[in-house]
Amino acid sequence: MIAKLFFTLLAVGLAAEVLAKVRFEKILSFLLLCFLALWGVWIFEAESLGLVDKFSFHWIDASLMLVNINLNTTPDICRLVFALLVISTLSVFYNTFYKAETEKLRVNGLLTLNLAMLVSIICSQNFMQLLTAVCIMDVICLLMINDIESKRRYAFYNLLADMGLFTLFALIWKQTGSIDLSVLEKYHRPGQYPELTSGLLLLCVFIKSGIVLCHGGFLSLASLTFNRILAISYCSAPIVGILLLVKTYPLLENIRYMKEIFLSFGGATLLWGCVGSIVLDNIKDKALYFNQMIYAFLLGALAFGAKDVDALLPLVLFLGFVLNAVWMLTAISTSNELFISNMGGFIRPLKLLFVSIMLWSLIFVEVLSLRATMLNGVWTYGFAAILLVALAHISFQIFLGKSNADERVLAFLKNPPLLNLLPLWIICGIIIWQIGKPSMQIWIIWVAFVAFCFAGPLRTLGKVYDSENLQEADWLHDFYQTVLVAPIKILGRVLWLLIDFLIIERTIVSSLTSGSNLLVRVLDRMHTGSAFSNAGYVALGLGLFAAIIYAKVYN
Amino acid sequence: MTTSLNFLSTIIAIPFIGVLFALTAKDDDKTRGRNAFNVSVLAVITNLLVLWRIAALLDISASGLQLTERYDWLENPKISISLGIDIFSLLLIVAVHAAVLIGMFGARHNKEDGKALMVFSLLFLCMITGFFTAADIFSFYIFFEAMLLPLFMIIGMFGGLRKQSVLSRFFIYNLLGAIFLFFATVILYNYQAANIALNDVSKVNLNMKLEIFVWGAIFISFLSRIPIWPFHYWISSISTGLRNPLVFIITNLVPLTGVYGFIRFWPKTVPGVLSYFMIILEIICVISMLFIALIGMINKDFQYKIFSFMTVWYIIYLLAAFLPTDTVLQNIGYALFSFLIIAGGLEVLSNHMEKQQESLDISSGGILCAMPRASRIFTFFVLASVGMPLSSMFLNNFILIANLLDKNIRMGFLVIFAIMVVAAGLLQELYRLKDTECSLPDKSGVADISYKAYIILLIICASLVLTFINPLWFVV
Repeated sequence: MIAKLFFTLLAVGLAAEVLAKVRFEKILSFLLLCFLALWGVWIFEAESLGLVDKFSFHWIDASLMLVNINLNTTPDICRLVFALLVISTLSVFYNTFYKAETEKLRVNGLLTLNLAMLVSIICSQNFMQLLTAVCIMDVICLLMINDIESKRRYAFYNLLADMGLFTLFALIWKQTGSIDLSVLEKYHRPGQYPELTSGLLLLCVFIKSGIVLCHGGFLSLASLTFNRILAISYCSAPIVGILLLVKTYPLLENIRYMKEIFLSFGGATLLWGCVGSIVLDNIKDKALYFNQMIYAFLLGALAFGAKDVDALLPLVLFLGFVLNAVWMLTAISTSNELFISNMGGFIRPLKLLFVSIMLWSLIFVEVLSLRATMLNGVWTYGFAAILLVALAHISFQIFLGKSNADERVLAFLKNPPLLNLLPLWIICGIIIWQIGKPSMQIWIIWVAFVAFCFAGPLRTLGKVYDSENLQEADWLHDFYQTVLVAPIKILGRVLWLLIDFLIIERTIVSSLTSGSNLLVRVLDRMHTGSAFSNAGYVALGLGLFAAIIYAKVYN
Repeated sequence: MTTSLNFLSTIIAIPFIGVLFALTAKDDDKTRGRNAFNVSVLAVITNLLVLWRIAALLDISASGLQLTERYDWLENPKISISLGIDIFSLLLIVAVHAAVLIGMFGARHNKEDGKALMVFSLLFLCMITGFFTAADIFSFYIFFEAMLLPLFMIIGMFGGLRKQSVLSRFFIYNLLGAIFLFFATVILYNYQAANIALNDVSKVNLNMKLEIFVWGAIFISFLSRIPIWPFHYWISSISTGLRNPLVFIITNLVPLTGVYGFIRFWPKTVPGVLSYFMIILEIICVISMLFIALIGMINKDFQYKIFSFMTVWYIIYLLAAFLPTDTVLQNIGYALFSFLIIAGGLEVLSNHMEKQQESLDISSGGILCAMPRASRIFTFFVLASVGMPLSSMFLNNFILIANLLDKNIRMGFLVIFAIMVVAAGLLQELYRLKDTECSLPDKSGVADISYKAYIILLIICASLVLTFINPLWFVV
């Protein structure tokens, strides 16, 4: 089942890329959407029936390495694939109906290929399959990014991440003699490098999932169109980071302080995301900071075990996706106004969106409170509180309070088309159906959130939107430029000047050239000059001859 | 394996016959070297077809040279020329042919001395093919030196602005290498009183002094071809001044001959007296790699960036060749196959951009925005060169780097750092060339690559992707 899905996704994705320039791209995109939806139904059915099926083939059968591609079907795999399939289908849906997207079929084709690679990652049982799928996903993601600066940053950060992954798997393979993921469990014997490889793995995951200190590539996506931000945030690199952690968790279990590392980086990212979402004016930036909070939560949750996160992942991803889609629809409804400082008081014309946010917050609280017992209560409720504070503040600024919108925005302000809202409501409905009615405790928390929203206690923070320095600050990028990139460049220049230019060009090559010129001049003068020169030449020969005789006789 | 046709002499002869045809081709203002170009392309393609047939005849799993041929040359001293091929040599010959073919397409609009360029390129191809098929030390030595002749002429005619100084350096370094290899060859011949098969060189029992001298001489002769400090300067200085992609590709194939020499000669079990020198060589290799990668990153000339990319990888393949295992050899071959084609493609496209920039007198920033076809192919080549899974470089480099890390983890990490620096340099250049902010109206007159070139390059990209799926996809 999963193997069939993988190969059909590859075929359809490649076909979509080939046909990307044809006239009927919207119709073809719609067909692609139907195709994904159909597969969603089949995978759901397979999961419900508990279908188990084994599929693997030899990819490389070399003397040094035997690489198998595993595409087995199990209920666990089906559950995760189903979640990602639904999210990808929704992304395709928004790409198809988002007017600002000019290359609908191309992006949808890339998303389909991306999904095939996600399936490969989920099914992988060896690290060559894992590494290959991760790297191919990076190339696909790079093609989805259509802003040059974002592309540049994404490429540099992910190059670093992929090289880290490459190195750690190469090291483990040579030391254990196997590429099977199961060897990670035993990778802590003398002479092996569990700390080093775990460090490399964490670096890679942090870059991919936009964890603080490594988030430059992830947050630079703000210059993309909203539908692409949505697609990349929930179908590509960040989710790969979490899947990588889940897959290679046994390696990290051997490391002391791993729980502390997860929690401290997760916590720092959560706070960073909260501050960023409150302080920045651009709604795309805010959306990305919210996504960062979602992934920070998942990272922290991993401190308490991979199995629970495996179960939590689909729900959290759905919730994150829906919230992101709401921000996208807000921008669409306000004639693509991106700055929160130019909004306010939109509750009446955008009541459907406001209701959506309230509905979302209710489900969010319920899902987390249900999972809090499974994970750690402090971590889960801490995350929920931080995210809800940021959400309440932004909801207040958009929907309540005084309006700062200009005439153009006010004139065209209207609820987004029902077609766009419907999938979100359906998802919310399905989640409620799955988890049951909220308890009284949930209602109390939710009412408190709504009250917080209407009260807007953080309204004074709106002043930070006026600070141009803060809005355009890129401290981390500047820091890395100064601390890492600039010294490397200076070193390169110094080496070029000192060794290539000064030592080789000006000293060795120049002295060789001058020396040979001098020799030629001397010999030339001896040959063609006066009788004195000729006599000198003969005397030199005689002297040499005498020296040889002397050496022969007395040695 | 024996066959009725002498395939190896055929693949050496075909470029030479191409040289004769190209020499007689009409070359006036009207044709402008087009006839010579057509003949040369035909010769290379014919040779590629013969190579395909050879690939079908080879037993991939067998070790040692196959399809061997032997020709008696002299009676006294008794010298015979032996030829042989294995899958490793075959991959290199095919890759060199493909790279030269790409270079020929890139240089087809060369207006001055186009005929001479094609003639000397074919002659170089003939010699390098002989070099890769040589099975004994004498034929190896002859082809090793003979390929310098067309190279000397090519650099002399098309070596850019600083060709005189470059030629003198080229001459000094290669003369040094030639003398040392000559002495080593003569000593080995005298010691054994017979011509020695290449894979038996390491089995010759020499006394300690001679062992040091012979291996030291072999060391220096091969090192003179590889851009390892202090021998790097002639190739690096020529690489920055070249405006002809074919000349660049041919010049940058020279280090391959040094690496190949090491691979063929170097004993898997290094004699004890040499182990000390091996450490020194490895240190020099790593320092050179880092040095060239760092300079490549800051250098604004894209040719230098390609040169630094090629050098870093050549040195990695050299370090991998020193590993005490034969099994990585095939991986070096697979990786080199894609590596040479990628470098050739990058060079041809960068040359096209440079010509557009010079003819329109514009800046190169954002130039790719005005040429979407070139942009797609160039992006592919850059991503493949930085190690993305788009060619056989991905998997085979993984194996090579794993082995280097296993041998010495510090060295392995320095190698990875050099790869990252060189990859960052290439990516930096790619995004500068694609920068939409620089894409001003002055780029409107920029000509994209022709549809014909685009289709050829697309086929090359597809064949590279196939090498990722199966490195020997072309072997039936």
